[in-house]
Amino acid sequence: MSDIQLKNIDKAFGKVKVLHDVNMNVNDGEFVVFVGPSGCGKSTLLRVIAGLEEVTAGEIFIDDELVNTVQPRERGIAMVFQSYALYPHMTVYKNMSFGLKLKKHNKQEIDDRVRKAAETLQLTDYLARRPAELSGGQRQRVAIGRAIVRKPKVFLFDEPLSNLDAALRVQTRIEIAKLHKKLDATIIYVTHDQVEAMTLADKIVVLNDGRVEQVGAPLDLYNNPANIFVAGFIGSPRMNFLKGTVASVKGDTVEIRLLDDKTVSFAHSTPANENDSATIGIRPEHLLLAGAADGLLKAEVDVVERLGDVSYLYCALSDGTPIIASAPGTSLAKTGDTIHLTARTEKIHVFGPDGNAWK
Amino acid sequence: MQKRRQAISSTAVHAILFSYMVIALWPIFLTIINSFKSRKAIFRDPLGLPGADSFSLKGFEKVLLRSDFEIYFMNSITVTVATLVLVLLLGAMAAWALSEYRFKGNTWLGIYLAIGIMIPIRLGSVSLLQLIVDLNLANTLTALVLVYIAQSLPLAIFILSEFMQQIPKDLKEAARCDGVSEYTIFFKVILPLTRPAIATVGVFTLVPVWNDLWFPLILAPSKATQTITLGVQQFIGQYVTDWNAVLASLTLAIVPILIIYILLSRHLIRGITAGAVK
Repeated sequence: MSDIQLKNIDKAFGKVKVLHDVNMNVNDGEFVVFVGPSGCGKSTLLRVIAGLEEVTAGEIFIDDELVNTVQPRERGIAMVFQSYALYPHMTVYKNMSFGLKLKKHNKQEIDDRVRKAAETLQLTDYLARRPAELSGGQRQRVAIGRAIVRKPKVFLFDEPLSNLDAALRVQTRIEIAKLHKKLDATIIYVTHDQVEAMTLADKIVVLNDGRVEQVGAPLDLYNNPANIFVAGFIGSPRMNFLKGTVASVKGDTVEIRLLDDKTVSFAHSTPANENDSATIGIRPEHLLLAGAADGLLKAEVDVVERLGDVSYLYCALSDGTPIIASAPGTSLAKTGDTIHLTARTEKIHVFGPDGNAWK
Repeated sequence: MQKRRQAISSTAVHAILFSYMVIALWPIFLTIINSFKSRKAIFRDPLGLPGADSFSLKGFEKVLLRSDFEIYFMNSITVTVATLVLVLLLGAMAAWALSEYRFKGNTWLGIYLAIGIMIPIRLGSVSLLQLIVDLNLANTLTALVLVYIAQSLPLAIFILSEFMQQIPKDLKEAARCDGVSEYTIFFKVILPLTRPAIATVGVFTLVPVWNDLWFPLILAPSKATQTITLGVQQFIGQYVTDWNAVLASLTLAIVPILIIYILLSRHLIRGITAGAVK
């Protein structure tokens, strides 16, 4: 059992409040990812859990034990840092065994644990080397190894892949996912990269400006974002937002008037009234190229990104609103073209003036 | 053009450094060559190398056989080594505390210690002497060690705390998460990483302590506690100065400091290459 509960966590540095009333549960064996733009407080939240920062208010429980005043070394956590933070004057073996030696484990057991971790992480050949003689990916694996050998209750990862190049990042990401399955460990992972969040997490916590915006499974956040922020943050390329007003509400059908007096209607059981302002969100993959006659949106193509299987068309509407559409890889659209788009109405998200999604 | 200018400037730099080296080494060179010459030869040709007719070990004989040289020598070594060890240990600990922990008065304490660099300790000689006498420490090596620690600590703390601030925060936090106690972090992680700075501070501490004449003269002038610089004075008389003996003992005095310096500077180089963080 190693679950974590955060209750009403506030954290301020001097007068600057960086965390506002954060509440959250992390269950045993769960892979939780904190995601958000830089400066949103996700790393601070992780450091609060680690015990490297004290909370201004609120309670932290690990295994139902209040740990607010417990030192990091007694919390049963292991942390992996973005900068690896390996001891430069020690070999890989010593880096991994350092913490264990101080805890007076017997020599044989330390050796077993280090060698096993090294094998898991394919570091056996490098045990005698120093960090300076390793590549970035290897150093990150040593840092993970140093965490594994301690058999902690909770693993904390602070943007562990940010310093790696793209190919290595994908590879290490898969390694971490495998590791999670293998160790059945509770992991809290901080990243600003929503792809990492989507691919690794059992549960994603989206943070913005020190507040939890939404907590949920990756696809849950993708399909049912609670507000404009989450909708815009999760998914790549980001969701398109179009401002409009409610034209009519007839039973379960809502009609929204957009730019150029075009209207879009779709099923939604919401107590909205006529002339309420509303923002609709459509993901690029839910916009379809159409003929001029039945097009909902008329846009001019600015840039085309061809990825092979798919092409992203970065366009602007007549009032300058940017919009991104995904087209098949075979699309011939080019910069300067005028295109017409329709939306898959069942995939439309609607947000009220307060930014929250219509329930 | 660019290349030529670079070549010229590098030649100029080397010329300046070389001439500085000559100026710095000249007195040492004179001391050493003259210590191997007879008294007459020293006065006849002070700049000449010892030849077959002028070579003499009379000075060394006198110093090693007919004086308490080994006592002075051991006193100097004791004082210097004790000072060095304590200054490095206390200085590193204080620097770590000042740079790592935020506590009330942290900044003021740092400034207070830095002021110690600017005020020459010799200004306090009279009160230091009184204090030492009151403590019953006059004519002991302890008195010298205490005063030298006070004299060397401010600079040591200043240099080391600057250096310790450069150590990445992640490293200390990783150690803390790793279950390492604060003392172990200091001794096993921080100290090894600050080795180049410690070697530098060691050299800065070592030389003035070894060469000091002032405090041994006023605090510990007794026969049993004289240091080498003070001991040499017995050969310098009001009417006659025994130059052979003076130069021989100075030559001998260079040896230990040279050895310690070489040891420290080797650490200095090794420390720099091993430091690579990330």
